[in-house]
Amino acid sequence: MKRFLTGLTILGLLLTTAPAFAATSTTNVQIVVGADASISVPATCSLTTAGAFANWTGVCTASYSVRTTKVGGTGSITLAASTDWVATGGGSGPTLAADNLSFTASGNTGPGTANGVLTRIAATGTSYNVVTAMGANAHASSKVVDTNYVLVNNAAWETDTYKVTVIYTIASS
Amino acid sequence: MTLSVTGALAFPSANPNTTPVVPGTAPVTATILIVNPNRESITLTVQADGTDLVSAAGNTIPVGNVTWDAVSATWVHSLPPRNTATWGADNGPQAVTTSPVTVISGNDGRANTTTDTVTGTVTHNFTFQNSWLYSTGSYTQTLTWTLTAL
Repeated sequence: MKRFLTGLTILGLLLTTAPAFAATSTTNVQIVVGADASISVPATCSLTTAGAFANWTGVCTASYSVRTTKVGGTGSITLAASTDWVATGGGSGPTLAADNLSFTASGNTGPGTANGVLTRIAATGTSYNVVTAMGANAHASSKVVDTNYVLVNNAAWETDTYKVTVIYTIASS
Repeated sequence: MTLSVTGALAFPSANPNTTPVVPGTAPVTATILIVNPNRESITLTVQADGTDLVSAAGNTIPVGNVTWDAVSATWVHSLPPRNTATWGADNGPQAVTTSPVTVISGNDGRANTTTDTVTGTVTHNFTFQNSWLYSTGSYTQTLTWTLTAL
């Protein structure tokens, strides 16, 4: 019994005499998360017709992500034609002013309200609502909304391929 | 023996599509000053003081979305030592946790006189995993670095 107690005493001395030092310092981390948005659309959306001068129609799906300010923020998607109709072969065809290119928006999987009212694109440079009122504190990733285009057919057009450039813009605040 | 660390680490707002991983605006440097080093074993650890970064509005981002990576470590002796200080391998990249994680270990060498010093410098790069799902705001949390010498 005596030998056992002696052994414990020696061990205790070894533990208490081991040199040790510790110090701490801190770093304050700050992450700023602001309103932001991204949108992408296919490079080309084709309109087709069933023939017999039926309207030309086509669907263009836009993909978007958005984050709006927590208090008082909102977001929207608009489109605008940046050019008039252009004939690739020099034909005489539709114009925004004289012909009826219209759209509705549908199938929005993200925040806000899709524009379900048939809206005519009557001129270049004019913005038309696709999705409005995304509201405050909206945060969504990889959402989609469809634009359903309709071009009223016209027998007066020459055969050709016609293109119009439409720019989509997403805004968030 | 003292430890001092860069006091602030900031991540600016960025578009998650174009910048899915946001780098910190500047590296975080830990500076260790030891007077009369005597072949102590040195360990530097880091941990978050809480599970989340928290905004003023109460929104949270888990600290695990912040990652550290020790990218360089050096020792500089004030005068030629009896034994040169050494560092082990840099650790990282690793996600920040609330438990202490060893950033790097080493040995502070041995001085020739009691007034000689050795200065260790460990540089860390930080990144932040961006997401559209975070609410807007300014989120904060504190990292605590601990230096132990045995």
